[in-house]
Amino acid sequence: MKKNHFRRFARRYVQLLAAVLYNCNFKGFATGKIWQGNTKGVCVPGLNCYSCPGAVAACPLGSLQTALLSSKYKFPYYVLGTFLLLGLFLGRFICGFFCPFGFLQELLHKIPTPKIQKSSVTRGLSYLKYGILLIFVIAVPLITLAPGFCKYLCPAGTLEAGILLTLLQERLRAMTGALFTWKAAVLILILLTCVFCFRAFCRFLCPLGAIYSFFNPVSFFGIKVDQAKCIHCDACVRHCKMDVRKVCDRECIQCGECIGRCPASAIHYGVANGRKNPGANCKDAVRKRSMARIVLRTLLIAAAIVLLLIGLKDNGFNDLKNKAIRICYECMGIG
Amino acid sequence: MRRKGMIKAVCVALAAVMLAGGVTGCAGVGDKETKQTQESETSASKEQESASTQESESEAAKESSSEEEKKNRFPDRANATLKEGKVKALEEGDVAPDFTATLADGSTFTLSEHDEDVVLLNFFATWCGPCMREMPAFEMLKDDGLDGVAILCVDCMEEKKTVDALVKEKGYTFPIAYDEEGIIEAYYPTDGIPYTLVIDQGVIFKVYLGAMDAETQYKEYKGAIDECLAK
Repeated sequence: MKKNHFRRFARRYVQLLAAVLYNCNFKGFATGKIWQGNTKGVCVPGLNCYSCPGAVAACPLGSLQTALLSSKYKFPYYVLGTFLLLGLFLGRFICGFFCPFGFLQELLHKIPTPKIQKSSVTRGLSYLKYGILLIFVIAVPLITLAPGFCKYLCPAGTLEAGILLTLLQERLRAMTGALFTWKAAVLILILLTCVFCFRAFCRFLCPLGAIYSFFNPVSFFGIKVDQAKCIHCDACVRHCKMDVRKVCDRECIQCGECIGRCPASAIHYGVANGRKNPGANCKDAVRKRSMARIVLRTLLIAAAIVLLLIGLKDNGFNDLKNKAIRICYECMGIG
Repeated sequence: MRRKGMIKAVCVALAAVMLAGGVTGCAGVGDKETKQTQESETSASKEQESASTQESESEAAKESSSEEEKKNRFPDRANATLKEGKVKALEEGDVAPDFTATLADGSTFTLSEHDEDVVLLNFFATWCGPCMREMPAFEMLKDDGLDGVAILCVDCMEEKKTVDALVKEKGYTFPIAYDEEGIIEAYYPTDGIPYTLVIDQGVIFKVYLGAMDAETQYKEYKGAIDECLAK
């Protein structure tokens, strides 16, 4: 009974644990003061605003935007190296397991209401997050000196920092205005949509998911399909609530729901090689693809290590910490 | 089974990493608090020493009535930064803690040397969008050339080369100070930046958190400075 319970809810426990560990400065929730320890020099993998009074580490997306903002004075080696390393090792496995905002969306979707099923429309909307990445995360910080996504859209920032800190600090309450109202409206709209549509924010809007999606084909850890066993029945894709075309494509959050649906037991979590037991009858084209993937992984991991080493030597850790130990007014919607 | 094992491993690894990080973080905070307290104590004792030296000198000489007058007029900074051994958050009406900063042009700025002036003190960083957007306001105020007004922008814990790159690129001529170790900032604790204070004769007259655009901030700061000058 216990085993079955753990098996069924294992991912939920990991998600809960991640949310608690990211935000284990419990004193901050009472005092309204944000954590200023050294752990703020490290990015957590999932979306978690570092201006949240409970947050003990930095948000990767916030870090990227502030790094781009001052990139003409200092190149963000450390943050880029962190992204590369996280993506390379975990890809969108992070979305499925280590993202507190994804966890919240899944809980909201449990509310019994009519649900919007995936379709060509939702598949089309899933490209929106790449536009948001390009415009709000990259272009706006570089051009207007504002962390565009944090300032105008990020629901995690509004929920964890904006609402909590304005409740806890009177002087911040006095600073709220039109931007705060806008961000609160965006948050409510997103949360409401998530009740009817599975992980709507992740699927259509989240630029962090968009970044990690690029790494899905090359990430070391995640869902793997044993091609020798696969009977191509598409049961995995049919039952998946995300807009996937095949297991482990850019939209796959590697939640593992498809593992139990596969009648041939061909899907499993695995490390490194995307193709298990390639065998002697493996075609040349597949073998070449596999080789190209290995080369790409090697290059990427070398790049990640080089970027991280240069970043650390260039005071990147302290730079990130010095940003993350301060309240980001823009994340709160009062910038 | 494989899935269960994998999830267990991930779970344990995540917990271990975060707990290790938490412990390091706790140690870091402890270090920081100790450092700040030590710095405060050192500075306070130095200031107390210098105050007592001044007092004995003035008592011995009993010469200058202007010294006495100054002592009465300007606040005693010896205890300004300390309250029960901790750096306290500053409010309007508090005495502005004294400090000496090294400026990007190589000179120094000591706050107590501007006791008769209105000082506009700003804390900023190059990665802070609102800070960068309001920067031209300080240049405009400097260009106004107001008598009895001093401006100082303190960069928060960035390297000198980053500050130098900003000054070179933007061509700012108002005083910009380095604070790589966060020593000045420790006397002016704040959760967020930009953080700007208008200091009138050594006493904090107005505190600003956050900032809008340069034009709006110029009007805000100019208004506060004019208010101080009109006294």
